[in-house]
Order: sequence, then C-alpha cells, then structure tokens
Amino acid sequence: MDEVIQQYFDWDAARPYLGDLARGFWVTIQIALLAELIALALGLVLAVLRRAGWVRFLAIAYINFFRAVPALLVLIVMYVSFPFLPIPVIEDLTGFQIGFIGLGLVYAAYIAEVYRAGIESVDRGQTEAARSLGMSHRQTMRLVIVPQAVRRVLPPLMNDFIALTKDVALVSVIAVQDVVGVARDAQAVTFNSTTLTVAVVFYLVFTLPLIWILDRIIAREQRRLGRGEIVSP
Amino acid sequence: MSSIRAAGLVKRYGDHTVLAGVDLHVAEGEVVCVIGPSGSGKSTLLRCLNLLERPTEGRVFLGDQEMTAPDAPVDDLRSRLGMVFQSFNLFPHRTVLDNLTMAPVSVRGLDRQEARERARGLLARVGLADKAGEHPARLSGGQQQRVAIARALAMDPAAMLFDEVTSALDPELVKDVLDVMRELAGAGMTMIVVTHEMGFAREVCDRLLFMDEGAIVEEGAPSDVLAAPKEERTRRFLSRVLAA
Repeated sequence: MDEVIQQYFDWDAARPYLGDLARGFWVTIQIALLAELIALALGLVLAVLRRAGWVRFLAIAYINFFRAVPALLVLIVMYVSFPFLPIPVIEDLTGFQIGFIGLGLVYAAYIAEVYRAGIESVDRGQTEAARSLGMSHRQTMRLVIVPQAVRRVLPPLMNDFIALTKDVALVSVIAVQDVVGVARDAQAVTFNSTTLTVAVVFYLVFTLPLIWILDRIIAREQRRLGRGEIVSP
Repeated sequence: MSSIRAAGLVKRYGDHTVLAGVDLHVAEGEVVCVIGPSGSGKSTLLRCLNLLERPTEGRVFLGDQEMTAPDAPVDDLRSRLGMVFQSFNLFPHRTVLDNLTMAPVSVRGLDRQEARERARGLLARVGLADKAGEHPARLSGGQQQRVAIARALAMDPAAMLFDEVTSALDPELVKDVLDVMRELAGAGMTMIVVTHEMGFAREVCDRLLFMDEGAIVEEGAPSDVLAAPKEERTRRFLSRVLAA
C-alpha cells in the first residue's frame, strides 16, 4: 500500500521540480490565453461570414474541417512540416507559437458554432427594426445582433475556454515545456508520478474556479428568466 | 415629393399568394389606415413598401425614386421610411437614448452630441423625457412602443409605417400610443397605419382601406366605409369587429 501512495504522493521526489512545474504551468496559461484570443476573433469572423454571400462556403468548409480533424494531428502536422517550408515567418515558428496558433485555429471552428447559435437566437424583429432604420447588413450585425449574441453565449464560450485549457496539454507532444511536458520529463528521470500529480493539482486550481463561476452565471441567467423548478403535486 | 406609390404588388411564398396585385398611392401628408381580417396581407403590404419583404412582382416608389429598381439605394430609401412594429423590437442591450441615436449616428453620420440632443427632444415629444437612461426592459409596453415611434422619428423620415402597433398592448396603455400617433398625424406626417382600432381609424385617417385575401376590396373616407360599407366582405368583417 505504501508503494501505491508513494508512487503518486512522494513530495521529496517532486520538490526539485516544483519551479519547473510552475514555469510549465505559466506556459500552459499563456498558450491557452493566446489561443483563446485567436479563436474568439477568428471564430466571430467565421460565424459572421457563414451568413454572408458565397464566402459562406469557405467558412463552412473551414469550420467542418477543423471540427473533423483531431487537434493533436493538426499540431503535429504544423510542427513537423513548417520548418521545411520556404515561407518567411512560418518556417521560423517555435513549438510554443505553433502550439497557440494551432489550438487557436482548431478552437475557432468550435467557437464559430457557438457564436452562430447566439446569432440565430436573436429575434428576427431585431434585424427588421435595424434594417427599417436604414442600417446596412454590416451595421446591423455589428451594432445590434452580435452584441446581443455574445452576451447570450458567454457560458458556452467559457465552457470552450476550459476545454481549450485542457487541450493545451497536447503541446507536450510537440516538445513544448508546458506543465504536462515538464511533469513527464521529470517522471522519466525519477520513475515517480508525483510531478504528474502536481500537474493535476495545477489544473484543478485553475479550472475548478472557472467551472464554479460558469455554474453561477448559468444559475443567475435561469433566475433572470424566472425559470424555477416546475412544481410537482 | 414624399408620396408612397405601389403598383401591381404581388407577393407569393411558393404557391401561396399573400398579395394579389395591390395598387396604392399615398399622398404627402395623407394618413391612410388599413383594416382587414388576419391573413389578409396588411402587414405584408407594409413590409413590401420598405422592402423588408421583396415583392414577387410590382414596383414601389418613394417620391420619384423607385425602391424596387435593381440598383436602388435600398438602405438609404428605408432610412426615410420609419416603421413601427407590433412587437416594438427595441434594442434591449442599449439604453432608450442609445436606441434613438444609433441609426442617426451610424447611418447619417450625425454628430453624437447633436443626435443625443435631438433624441431628448423626441423623447419629450412622446412623453418619456425621464426614461432616456433606462433600458427598454424596464419600460411598460406602451412606453416601449412610444420609444419605438421616437426611434423611427429620429431618422427624420418622410413617411411612417405602423404595423398593428397597439395589438400587443394592454388596453389601458393603448391610448398613450394612439395619442402620439394622433399628434404626428396632426403635424402633417405621411402615415400608413395597419390597425384594429376602429375609433382611431374613424377619427384620424383621411382614407380607409379594407383588405381581404391579398387585395384592396374597398376604400374611401373612413366615415363612409365604416358606416355604409359597399362590399359584402367589408360588411361582414365590420359586423364581426364592432360586435366584439
């Protein structure tokens, strides 16, 4: 039994790596935030293009491609192929940069779908009112539809951010020293898994509050809409 | 100048015909009320006039400009035709004042400060000067509808379209909205009013149209049409409405 506990909770084995693990988790957070920025911006562009003219088909193709292909595969393809491309900037991208760009590209597809649901949930009368005032399609989207849509999809957007943060662990496969990469490397030296336990704790400390906040927002929204429990006899 | 003219308007959805050839001429300063049973095409007629729905056939003119022309500046023409809806459709994420300034600033390029001042004047005109900073959700239906009228007026329209604007209101709130419309009509605004308010129609409008099955069945001075309808269908409709 002692050996079982020792395997996961041997603090002496993990102590020398705590600094590296903390730095690794900082890398994780940076990648998550940068990827989220890309995904939020690109996702919104895709969601809006999805409702406009012929470019709609390009937007749909993009969204479906990245929803269908594993993020891990996207990261690996970018990481192994980019250094051989004779394209400035692209050929010099580091693993860290490929990590947040790749995850940003993938999550833009999910987030575009979230925005789309939000845009479609805004009452048609809003568009009609704006257009009847002489506003163009573009002005209507920017000033009337998108602001209302974004507010409505805040909970699912946060949900995707949590999922994205967890998927940052994938970058350990392309030689980025995120918290998972650091923990694995240490485990390979010590044959003890406590560094991985520490990685789990880092994740819990970061994501559980997000999940908690998310639940609060949803609960508040439900109250605002006056949806209580249905009374049973 | 700012008259509204429609010629041969037809609107079909698949093989369902909603408008079956409507001709309409509303002179500048004229107030025209449109009555008729639900599904008669009244709302569709209004929505075709500002091209929220594109007519299947026929042409619409605002003044001497054709809205249905292939290269017509539709957004610009729409901005000169105010529309008020049954369901208000205020922008819930903005304050009342912002609801009034959004289009003047973004479409007309009006200076924000100037737009605000004008908006305050319009809110005073509809009796809601003290609600400028509120969000629409905090207003009663009648107040929201008056804001919606002020919002349309903020674009300084040549004419106004009203689509059953009191139908979603509690009875005691209807009067405030009708009073605003009465005042507008008195000030010489060109108006097309789809309504179920027979009292308002009788008292305010210059001409009354009765629509049924996508066509104008009868039209004339409101007192004539209401008191002595010529058509059987008009008579039947009125006896049902006035009995209620």
